[in-house]
Amino acid sequence: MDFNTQLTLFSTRFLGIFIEAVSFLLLGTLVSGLIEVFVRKEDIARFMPRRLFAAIAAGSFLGFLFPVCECGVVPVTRKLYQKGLPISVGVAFLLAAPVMNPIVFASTYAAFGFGPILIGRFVITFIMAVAVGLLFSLERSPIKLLQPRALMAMSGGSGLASPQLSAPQTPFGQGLVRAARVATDEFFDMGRYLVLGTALAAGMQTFLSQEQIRALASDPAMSVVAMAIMAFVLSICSTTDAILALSFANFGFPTGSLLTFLTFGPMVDVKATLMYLSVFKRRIVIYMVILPLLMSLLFGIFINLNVRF
Amino acid sequence: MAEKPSLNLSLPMHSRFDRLDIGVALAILALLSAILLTLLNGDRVGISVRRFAPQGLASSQAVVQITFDEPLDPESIVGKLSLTPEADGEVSVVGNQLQWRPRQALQQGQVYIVRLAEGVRSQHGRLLLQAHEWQFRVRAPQVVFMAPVDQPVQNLFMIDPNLPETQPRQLTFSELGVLSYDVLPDGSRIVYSELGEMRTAHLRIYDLRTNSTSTLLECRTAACTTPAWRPDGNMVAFERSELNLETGAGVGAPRIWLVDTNTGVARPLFADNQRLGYSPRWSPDGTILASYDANIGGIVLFDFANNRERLIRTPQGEVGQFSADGRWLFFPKIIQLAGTTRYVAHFVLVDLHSELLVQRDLTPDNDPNNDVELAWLPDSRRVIVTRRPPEITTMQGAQLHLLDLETGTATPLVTEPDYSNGQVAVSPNGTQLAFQRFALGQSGARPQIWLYNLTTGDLRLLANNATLPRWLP
Repeated sequence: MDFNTQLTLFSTRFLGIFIEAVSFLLLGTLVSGLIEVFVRKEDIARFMPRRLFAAIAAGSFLGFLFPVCECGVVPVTRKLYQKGLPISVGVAFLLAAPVMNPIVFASTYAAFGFGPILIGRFVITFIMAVAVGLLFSLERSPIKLLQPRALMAMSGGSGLASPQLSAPQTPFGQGLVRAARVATDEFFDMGRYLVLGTALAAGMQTFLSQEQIRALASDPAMSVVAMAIMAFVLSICSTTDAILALSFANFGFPTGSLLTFLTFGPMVDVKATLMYLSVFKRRIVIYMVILPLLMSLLFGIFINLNVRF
Repeated sequence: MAEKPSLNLSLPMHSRFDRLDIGVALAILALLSAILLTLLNGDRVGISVRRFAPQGLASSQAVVQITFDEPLDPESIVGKLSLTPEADGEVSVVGNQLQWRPRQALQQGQVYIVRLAEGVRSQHGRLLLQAHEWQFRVRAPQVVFMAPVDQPVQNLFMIDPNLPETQPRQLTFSELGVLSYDVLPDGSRIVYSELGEMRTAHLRIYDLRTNSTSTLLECRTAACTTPAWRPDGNMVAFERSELNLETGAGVGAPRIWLVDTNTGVARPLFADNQRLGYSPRWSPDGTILASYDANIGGIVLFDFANNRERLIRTPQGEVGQFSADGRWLFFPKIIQLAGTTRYVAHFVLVDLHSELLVQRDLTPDNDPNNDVELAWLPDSRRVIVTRRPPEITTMQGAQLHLLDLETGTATPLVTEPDYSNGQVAVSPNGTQLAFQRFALGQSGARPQIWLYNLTTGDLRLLANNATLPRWLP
């Protein structure tokens, strides 16, 4: 393939990923703006369960309240952190929300019907998100985990949430204007990560051979690794990835491998990883990539080698 | 001397790693160990059988098909597939499908148990961990025909020749009618041409395994007729005549087209659209397609194995049938009997295994018999000839004879001059003939389908007001 063709392919793929993702980022930043204006810190404190496990489990179901994909979930999480959401709960939300929401439920059901893929996708995502969330509860100091920008609204720069402070009551109209301003700032702040991530994903799609990865379809272990790589590289939005997974199923990829694609991809892909850097410190982002990766590999390989459908 | 001040080095020691780092490290270790253990524990599932056929009732020519979720290693199949009671067949592997094709017709009424032993291996080394076993019963061959003849619209019907008192079962319910059809040699599907609006004709498939009809090809501007199955069921050859509806130029001359039954993609046999053709016939192994080209004036044999064409020159415009062993093809020739003004038709056999397509007369040129039709028996050594003996005028019916190719002996089978016989179809095991009869002397008579038993000589009516019988194995 000559350079011009590769460049054309790169441009097409870049635009394809970007146009799909940017709408969700816009939606996420709008939600983020509304949270900034209309959600008070005491609301978070009031509605969040006191017990750690219950709080993290509740966090993984927050996607049904804020139905956003992996691009939109990052600004929402950042804003929720600024409103005092515990880090571990936010991590569970961040990882689970791109799957655990009604849109993805519907698209997965449309592609695979009610069966092992649909059930497995939601159960495995829940387990992974809760497990990582529980692990992150070992560190309660946000300052050690979050980027300074994500801590801006926290009290006195201590890195601890200040539940006492509450947002002054704002008239609805003014509130909307302010929410739009916040959303705009968030959009451009996160957008650069999206552009970088999209460029990286498009580059990998153009220059890495997907045929070789597909050739691994029948190997129960290697097909799981292949699907994890595909999920990371392709950076498909979680609302549409079930359709692509269906085509992988037709290539002969087994159920465990498809579940890896459908659980790991929404949590971690090239563009989401870069966007995580806008919220978390680099070390934490590495953890947030490695832990879901290993867990999804374990689930995928175990299912392929031990479960007959 | 003043003492040197001592430096207190007992600063509080801070680990570079906090609780989260340690927790993550332990989690990573645990996950890696779990992955390793899962891999060491090995494959507890193996490859799986996705589909298998036939199930329930099957034809005597049924192909056993087992589809896996992975492509198979053909060497691992050896000795793994068995049928009880034993039956002679050929095993092949294509991708993730294992096929067993019987060399001889399976025994009617017999229940066969198919067993695929564990140990079959995929190309990636995964094993079939559990034996797979099921059974099917072989039904008697059925006779398919078109009826009613006295109506403008005909449909396909099927009848069990062993249960003549039962009513024929209607297979198709076309409003405008079925024009022509062909039965797949394994008895699983029937392809037929159905008349559509504006004299178009489309190809449909009736699947006897599911009793369902599907469209193979919509011909919106043409009449697609005379379909012929390639014996493996993956291709159908047919005649396509453009209707030229927009130009009003009338129906064009037919050309041979092919349609892939898996994808539904159709294409002409020849890229040159000036090449005409009709009456497609497949060789038993599916490598040769014979058709008649009126422009060239002969039967064109297109060999798909090497994309080579061979030509049998004949002005009669008829393509015969291949023998079951694929060696012979027949076609008619018209000769004038020596010393008379009478013309008769004789058949010529073409040896397709010979490079020069050596021809052999079925009957000597001085034989006064007039041969109308020919049908092969499965042994490829005998044929059924529909013949008008010289003492019978052309207004009287053709009769059935059994002709031995080695000895040249013709044995009369059905000789009733008041009836005209034809359209002979030989049963898969070669013991029965289904054919059309027409009572010449009776007013208001309709064509009928009759059955003749070659072993006992029994002759009986199978269906009234019907035509074009074919055996469904």
